[in-house]
Amino acid sequence: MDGLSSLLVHAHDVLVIGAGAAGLRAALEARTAGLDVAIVCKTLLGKAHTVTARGPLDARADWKAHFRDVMRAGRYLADWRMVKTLATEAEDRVAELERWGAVLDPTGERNGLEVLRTLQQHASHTGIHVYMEHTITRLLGDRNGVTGAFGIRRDNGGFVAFEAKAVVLATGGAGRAFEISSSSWECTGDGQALAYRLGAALVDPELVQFHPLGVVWPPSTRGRCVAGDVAALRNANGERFVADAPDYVVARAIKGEVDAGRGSPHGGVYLGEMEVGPTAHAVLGGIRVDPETQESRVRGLFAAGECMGGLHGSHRFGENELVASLVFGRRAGLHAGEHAKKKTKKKTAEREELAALAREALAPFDRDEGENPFEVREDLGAVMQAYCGVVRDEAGLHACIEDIARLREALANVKVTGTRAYNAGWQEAFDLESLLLVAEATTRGALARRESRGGHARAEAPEEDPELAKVSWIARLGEGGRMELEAVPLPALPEDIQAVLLEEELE
Amino acid sequence: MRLRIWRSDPTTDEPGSFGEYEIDTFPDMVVLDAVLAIQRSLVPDLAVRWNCKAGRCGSCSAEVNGRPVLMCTTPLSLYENEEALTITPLRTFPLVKDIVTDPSRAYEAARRVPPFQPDPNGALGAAEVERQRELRKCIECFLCQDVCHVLRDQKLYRQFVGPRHLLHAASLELHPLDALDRRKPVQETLGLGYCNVTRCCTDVCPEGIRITDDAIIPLKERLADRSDPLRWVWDRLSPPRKRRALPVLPSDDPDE
Repeated sequence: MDGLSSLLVHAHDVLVIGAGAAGLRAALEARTAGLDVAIVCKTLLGKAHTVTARGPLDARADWKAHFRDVMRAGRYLADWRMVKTLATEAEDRVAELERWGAVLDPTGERNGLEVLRTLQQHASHTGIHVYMEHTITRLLGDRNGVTGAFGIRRDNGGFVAFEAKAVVLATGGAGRAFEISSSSWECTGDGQALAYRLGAALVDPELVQFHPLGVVWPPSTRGRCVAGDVAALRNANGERFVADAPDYVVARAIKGEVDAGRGSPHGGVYLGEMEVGPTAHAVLGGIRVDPETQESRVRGLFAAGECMGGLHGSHRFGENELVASLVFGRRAGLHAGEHAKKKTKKKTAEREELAALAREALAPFDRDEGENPFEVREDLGAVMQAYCGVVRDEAGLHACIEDIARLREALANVKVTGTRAYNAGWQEAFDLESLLLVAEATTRGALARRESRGGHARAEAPEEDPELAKVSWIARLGEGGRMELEAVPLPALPEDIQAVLLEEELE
Repeated sequence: MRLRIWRSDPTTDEPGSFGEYEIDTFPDMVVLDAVLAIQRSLVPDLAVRWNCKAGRCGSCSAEVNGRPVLMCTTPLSLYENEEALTITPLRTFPLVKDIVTDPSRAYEAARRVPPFQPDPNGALGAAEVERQRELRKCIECFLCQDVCHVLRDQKLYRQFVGPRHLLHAASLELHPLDALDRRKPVQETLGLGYCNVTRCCTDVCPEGIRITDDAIIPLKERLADRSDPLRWVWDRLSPPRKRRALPVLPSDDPDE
């Protein structure tokens, strides 16, 4: 098969990958600055995982109270500079959204759809180019700078290259690494994987948020978050076992009941007739960015939204997910735009490099025998569910790393049949590549963080370790393609910020 | 259960045909579960568009036994007395592959609706908020576009944007914080006059939006206001009407 016969090359100043709230907001900001902007997204415009977000948008006049709530919820693992940005800019972003026609709901119902639709409708009249149902498989450039992206358009399976002066990653989470997850199919950690391969760092990848009330039975809605009174949860003996508490406390209590043999037949507990249990809801770690500019350590490569790390620490309130996408999406678009303006020339994509990427992408079609990509992903889901869930232990995490290595070999031997047009198995193989990378970073980070803090829990170390509140771990591509993990200090809190945090203690 | 799924790949010369599959079911299985089970174990290149699988994104629209539905919210149990389940793509959009169609036309139509234009003097009252909520519930599944006779049978895509986009236009036109008068473009560019109010769109809306009664008819009424000669004279003679400013209720404030 001649890989490049159908290659299309597009050139834009700023390329935004992902069309959820963060990606759309980034694109709008860069476009407002007068740049030629394109969005490339894995699904149709307006279908991103943002649509399912609920919850009011936390935007307060008193930034200090908001700041304290976020820092405290995340058990002080957040970068205070990003949290301050969130708390001080949230109100403006929400007011602006309302000026664009949004009718937000104070109860939070449907706010994800409302935010997404408002941004989508606003963007559709601004001349932003949108490439829907395209999967980006590689960024172009090197660790000194990004020059574009390479991918596949789903409709006919043809290859596409983008040349750009700046790239914004806004690809969302990676919940699909877990068997029980509230994420849509596209949440496969693409942005994290793309950034990592080019040389960017992932910060605190071990931090994953598990929502305690995910459906485990009946099967069709498995993973979906439901609303419910936590105090009404009952174990197999009909006993209540937990009071209203932070999500991660409830999630651990449910796991405790199940481990003690008091769970429901399908490994949850009862909420009325339904069986529920923890479901992977959001990844809180992600691409490490400069807290001022959203730029990763790769020049010209920016990130915002769930694929970005550093903002939430080890737990996130639902009220912050949409506003964070707006605040940091705007900042990423602003700085990507400024970067693009300074660069006079785009680098032309090299034909040889693209041909090599095309050959690599097509390899699964050439195998006579091979693994079924859907089965490999199910296998990964089961492994992560078993070893990297609500409570982790050393032996399990080591087993997890071995299993991920085994699954990576399986992926290298995956077989795809049929034509290249809208081929689900082929798509699954790309998604798996990203998922395996994020899964490995999550597992290695979890091994390093030997404490229990917010949403991260280690069986051997059930308490918080004050020393570990001062460190983040970053995962990056090391020598010989191996993943390296490095401890980096969290930025120290200046006195005025310490005072803001202390104010609350005095109240 | 037996499923018949339309299979057609326009990138090959093969003619389209139905694939027939037998699957095991479970109690709360929905049509999308069945299609994904077939994809996973029998037909890994089967094209199906889906995303949230929770009825909130409107991606998995298809025609099941001839009726347009969201596959993720349609239980298989609805069809237990039928011989087989037949799944075909939305008929009003061009085919991409199997049961996936190309909705580009709908995105182009969206750009024909004049955008929101903020009115600094506007105010959003409780009644308007309720009405906006209904008009803005649309998940863009395009089932209404699929069943609309003007598009499906008469194929007047250029003249008529279809129910989804008239709904969008109505949500803006009836938005108290919007300053633009869309009556002319609604008639001339969007083709409101082509709708003959058969309510097919309302019947298939998975969000239960009363598209005809709450969006299209109010738009038609606004237009009638405009074309009424007495009203025209009155408008000319009387000073410009101001929108009645309604107070913003405290509960409408997202900060609360």
